[in-house]
Amino acid sequence: MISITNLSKSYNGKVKAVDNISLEIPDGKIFGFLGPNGAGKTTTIKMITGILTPDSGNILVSGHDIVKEPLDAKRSFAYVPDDPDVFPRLKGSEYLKFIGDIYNVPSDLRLERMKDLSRKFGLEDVLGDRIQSYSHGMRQKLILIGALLHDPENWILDEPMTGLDPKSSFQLKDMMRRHADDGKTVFFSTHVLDVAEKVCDHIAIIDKGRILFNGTVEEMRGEVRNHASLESMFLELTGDTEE
Amino acid sequence: MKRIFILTRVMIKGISSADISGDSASGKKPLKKIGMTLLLAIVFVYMAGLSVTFVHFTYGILSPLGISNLILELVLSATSFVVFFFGIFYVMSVYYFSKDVDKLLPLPVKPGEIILAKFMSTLFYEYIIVLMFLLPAMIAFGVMSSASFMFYLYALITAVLVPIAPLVLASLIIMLVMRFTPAARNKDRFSLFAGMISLVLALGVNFGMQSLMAKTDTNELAEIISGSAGNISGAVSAIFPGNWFASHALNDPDSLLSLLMVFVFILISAVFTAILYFIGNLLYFKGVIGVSSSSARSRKGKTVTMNELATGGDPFRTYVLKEFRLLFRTPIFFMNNVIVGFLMPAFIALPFIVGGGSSEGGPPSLSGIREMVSGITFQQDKGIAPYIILGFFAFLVFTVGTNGITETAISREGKQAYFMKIIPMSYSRQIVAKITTGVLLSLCSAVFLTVVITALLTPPVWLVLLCVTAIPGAVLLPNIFGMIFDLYMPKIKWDNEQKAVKQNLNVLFGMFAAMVMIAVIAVPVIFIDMSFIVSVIYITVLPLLLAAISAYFVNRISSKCMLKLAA
Repeated sequence: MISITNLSKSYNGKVKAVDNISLEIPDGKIFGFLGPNGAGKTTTIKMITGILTPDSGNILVSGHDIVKEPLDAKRSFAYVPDDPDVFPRLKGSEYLKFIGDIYNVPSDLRLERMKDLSRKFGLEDVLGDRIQSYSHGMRQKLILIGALLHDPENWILDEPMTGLDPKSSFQLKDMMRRHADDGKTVFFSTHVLDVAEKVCDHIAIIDKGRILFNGTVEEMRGEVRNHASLESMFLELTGDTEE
Repeated sequence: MKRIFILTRVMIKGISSADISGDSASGKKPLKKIGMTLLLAIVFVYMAGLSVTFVHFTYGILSPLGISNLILELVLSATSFVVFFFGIFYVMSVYYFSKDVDKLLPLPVKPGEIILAKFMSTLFYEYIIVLMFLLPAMIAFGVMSSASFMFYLYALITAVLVPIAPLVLASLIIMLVMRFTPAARNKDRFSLFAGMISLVLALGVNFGMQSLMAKTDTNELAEIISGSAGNISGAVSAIFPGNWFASHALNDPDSLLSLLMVFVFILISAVFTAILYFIGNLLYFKGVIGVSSSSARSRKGKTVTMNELATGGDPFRTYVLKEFRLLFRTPIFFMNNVIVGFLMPAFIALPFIVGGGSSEGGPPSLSGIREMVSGITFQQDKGIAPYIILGFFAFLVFTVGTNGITETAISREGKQAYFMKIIPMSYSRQIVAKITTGVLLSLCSAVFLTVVITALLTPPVWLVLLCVTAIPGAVLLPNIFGMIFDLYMPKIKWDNEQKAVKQNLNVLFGMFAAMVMIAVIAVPVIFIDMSFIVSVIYITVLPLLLAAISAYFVNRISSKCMLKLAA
């Protein structure tokens, strides 16, 4: 469960990237975070994960305040950034071992999850190679494996499908579904409306730092009935604010 | 032509803007820019001063013999060589490792124009060398020989044209190598190789200068200079014939023949550029495809078994291990942070090994020092022991202060700095892990130095043991204190590892801090009358106390600074 209250962040004291938003990301749901480029999606995610400090507002991850109890909050989530560049000169195996050690994953569990995840994403044979020799998609998969290794309650994924091949993309969507069905939380941002519509239980649309829509997919479908498609609704919502 | 200039401008901007706009947690960019400008000004004045001094020195020796014309030949040859040497590096990074060719090729420009634009942007950097080295030398020569206006006009034309031929040659050699030897296309391997060559060359130049300066006999010096000038400029003129014409025009600037010579020089430079254009078209684009910073094939690791991965380790140890791996596997970091801690002493010791004892007032010879040190006895000479320990301490502090490990510990993270912020390990613990990495590596170089010095100078055991007591303070203080700079001013926005360690002012601040530390410890020992015991305790304990205070301060600021870090 992730709870965001009155969150704001501005850059250089001028540009308001996130403007007083509140969101409740419940357990057992896949929460899609949609918005055009520069809408404030990544800034919000960076604040949830502790990379950026909010100007005001609160963020609770599994009940832990990310500013006041950062270590407890960080133990309870996995984060996959939109840019999968991590330590290019480490080997894939060294990266995963590093993550396993940092998160104190017990040996038996670590073995089981590594086997399972590297098989699912087809990385078994390249774990001995340096990450700098991986393609974009392979790096993305490695970060995903690392993020899921400690089996956290909350998954926070920034554009996770970018660069994934269809099989891995399907695997990831399937894993997200099962994670949510286990009563845990998946929060992910995407540009792809189709994915959002098919995968998510709950959707929020952000533009210019403000939440324009926040509701279940059913509620969204109700809205969409007034529009030709989700796309036209999205365009209208985000287009209105530009005027 | 216009397109070439536009491309050149974009390439130069791409490099220089990223260079200067370092990132800082406090956002004080103007201050950093002023610092950078000041630093550049100091370097410029220093280099220009060196070359003016060189001309002044050699003119005084060669002018009475009527062979002062050799100076210009020597200066032009030296410039050509330096331009060629740096050209190799510039060409590699601008032509091959800048990753922009994929974006430039689809643009509506001719391939030859891309090559010329790349050539001009490397030429731009070579002009910095000309500005710092050649121009001041020529002006100094002009002033000393009371030259006419034509001399200065020709000097200006020469300054503009001299770098062209050597840079074309460097470009062609690199293009050939990159076209036909796939091994050279690996950036990591090239960086390591280039780094090693630079260090050897720097040591060689230092060695040569030291032995030259150690000679005091003017006639001998004149002979050496005129001999080497003849040899060097003869060889260089054979490769770059333009230099011969330029130096002859400069030596007799008012004759009509000189005007002709300048025209020939211009023509030769144009021919070199045309050769680059045509051969570049044949070689460059085929060679640039497939250049990478990695080597997917050659670094194919062994297949790992899952059981290997599953054994758990202590988080702190794992973190330090990660730091070590990145330092050792990134060639730029390895050269600048690791190797330097072992080689810097060689630079310092060089004057004693080369020129020691050969001149009055100069450094004593190595054997002289050995005789003196090995003959020290506790009963008779314990009065000077504190000074020896102090010297050893200063030597270590300077070496540790130069390696820049903690001064760039956060900067080296670059784009991965966000990672420090999402893992469940407190910032202060991560900073301690980074300091530990610096301390362990510095300890290795301190032990190495102690062993080498002991073997070279054979001091008595009691003196070695006393010197060893200075190691903890000398290793801890610069490392912990150095971390403060990178906490306040991390430079994480870089696209090239060089910028994290080589073009990072924090390294310079670290060196400066090391000098201040040496002064703080040394001044009381030298100027206050202390007993043997008191001074030894002072040298060993005060740095530890200062390190403890620094550690307390680092611990207090680390969370605050890390929270501010815009990863």
